[in-house]
Amino acid sequence: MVVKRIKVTNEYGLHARPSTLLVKKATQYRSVLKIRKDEIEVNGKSLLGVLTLAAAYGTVLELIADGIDEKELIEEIERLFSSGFDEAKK
Amino acid sequence: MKLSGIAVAPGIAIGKSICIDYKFNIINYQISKEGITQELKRLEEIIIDTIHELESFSREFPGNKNQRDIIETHKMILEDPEMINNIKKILQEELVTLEKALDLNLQEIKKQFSEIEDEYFSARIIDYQDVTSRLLKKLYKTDSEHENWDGSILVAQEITPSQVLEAFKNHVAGLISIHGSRKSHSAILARSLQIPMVMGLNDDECDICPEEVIVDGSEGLVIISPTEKEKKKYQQDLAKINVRNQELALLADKDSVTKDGEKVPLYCNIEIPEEITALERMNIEGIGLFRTEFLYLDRQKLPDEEEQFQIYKKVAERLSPKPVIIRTIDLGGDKIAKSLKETEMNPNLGLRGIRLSFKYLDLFKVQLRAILRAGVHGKIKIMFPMVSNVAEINTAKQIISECQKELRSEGTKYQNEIEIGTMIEIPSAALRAKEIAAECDFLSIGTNDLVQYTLAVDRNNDLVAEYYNEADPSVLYLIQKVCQSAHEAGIKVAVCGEMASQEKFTAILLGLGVDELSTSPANYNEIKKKILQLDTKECYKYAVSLL
Repeated sequence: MVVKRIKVTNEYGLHARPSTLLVKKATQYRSVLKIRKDEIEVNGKSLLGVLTLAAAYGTVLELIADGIDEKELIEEIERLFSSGFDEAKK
Repeated sequence: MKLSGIAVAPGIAIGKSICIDYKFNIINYQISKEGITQELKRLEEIIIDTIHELESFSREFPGNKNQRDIIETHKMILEDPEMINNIKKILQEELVTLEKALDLNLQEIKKQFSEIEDEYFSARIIDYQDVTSRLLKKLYKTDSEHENWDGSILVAQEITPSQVLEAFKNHVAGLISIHGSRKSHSAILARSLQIPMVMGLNDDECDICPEEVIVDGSEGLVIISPTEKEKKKYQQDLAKINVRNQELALLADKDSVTKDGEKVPLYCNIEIPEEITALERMNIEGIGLFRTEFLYLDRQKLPDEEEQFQIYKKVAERLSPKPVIIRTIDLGGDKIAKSLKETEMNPNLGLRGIRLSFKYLDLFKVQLRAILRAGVHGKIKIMFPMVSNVAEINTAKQIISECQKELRSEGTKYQNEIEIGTMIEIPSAALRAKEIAAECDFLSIGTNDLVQYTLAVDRNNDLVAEYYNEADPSVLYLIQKVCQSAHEAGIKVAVCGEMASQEKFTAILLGLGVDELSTSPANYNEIKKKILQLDTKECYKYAVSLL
């Protein structure tokens, strides 16, 4: 299991487009991905889950990956976050 | 049965109602345990089908990035394991039809989203609504295109602007939207297209379809299965309206000239670009006021230059060679920055119109650049709202020059010779119209605000509404003064406020020296008819007697 803390740095947060990108990426891996915000934990492969986190700019999230390709999965998701999902960073 | 709602677009329609959304038709009965397998299979098929449909749609119509993103999101919703499991769970536990299960699932998601405080996120419920209605539509195969809408009354939970346009093309008699408000885009369009409409019945359970229905858009009434007596009364009223409309329609080919041969150019005001459809049958002389607030309302992100350019270009091209006067944004600050929402004690005297544009200069420049670029594709003019003195006009002109310079150095095509005008709606601007006129190519009087500021009356305040009087001598004096100042400077004056759309004021305005009128699309022919009956010398005498 890999756990990673990460901050949302794109201006509008994890709204529809970045969430879609995130879920799309996550579903390409076999490992399970959970995302935690405070007490809430959602399935990182479910758009509904990710959207209802309502992770605005500046939110700190915890990514928890578990499975045979967990490391690659986390790296890939981190890359998405650090690129700001190809949109304006604040 | 009589229901009352909001009167949105006047007129009367009598016809058979057709429900155009799934909401009223949810097939709901208990299924047996054995039936679950069948419903699960339908679920699987409908999802695969819909995903294929989305994929082929995006192949055929690549659209812009925004549209592609939405399709991606919708695909992701359909592939969401959590949501699919939830629908399956509902099917198994509640033993309902797939249709009902989809609806229940949407209700649950709605509840989840309603708990999110950040509006930016909670608004995404719309994607789930869209996907659900797509699935249900497929299940029902009620693709509305196949129905014959001619002469019917369309009913929906919430009628969209594109449905209003569709209704117009298919000769729909009337519209009923269970939810909605007078200010919605659908309402604006229905008024422009003159389709009687009632909104806001706010009764989700009401049984409207398919029945014979009367829509009274003037009173905001809907009568379901009317009595013979009711029907007869409304048929008579409708016949009168039809006779009048036919008469007015004949005016399309006539020029708006007074009895004594004075030409009075007659333009239209529009609030949303879709309204140009309504103008096509009227042979108008141009758009005297294209409001741009729609670009900034009811949305999450501010419109960028490209989006605005495309919209202005489309309208300019459709009207070309006739002029289109684009008015830069006239909003209160709360619409642009959430942080300003509660800080203004008196928003009507606050950060509005051009003052807001000066404060948010980046925003202003985006709009000006888009207008200048679109100016290449038709005859566009720029007009500034809420100007109080000539210094503001000079500043605005300077900003236009800066934008032109930027566009030039970028090598982007733009209009270098663009006419500039000012809205006269603040008394100080009316009193010093001479100076403003010297810097402008035209003036346009916004009577709603001019009356409000001259008389210090908010007409939306019931306690003082009786003091709101467009024909108050002080208002008429200001209008006359503006006309004189403009004429001395050799430019023309239009009126684009509501006074221009009311025939009882046409004679007064012409008498005061107003050269041109810009009306709402629904009143265009009425005002033209009035102009044809007037004599300018008598108008002058009449106006002077009121001063």
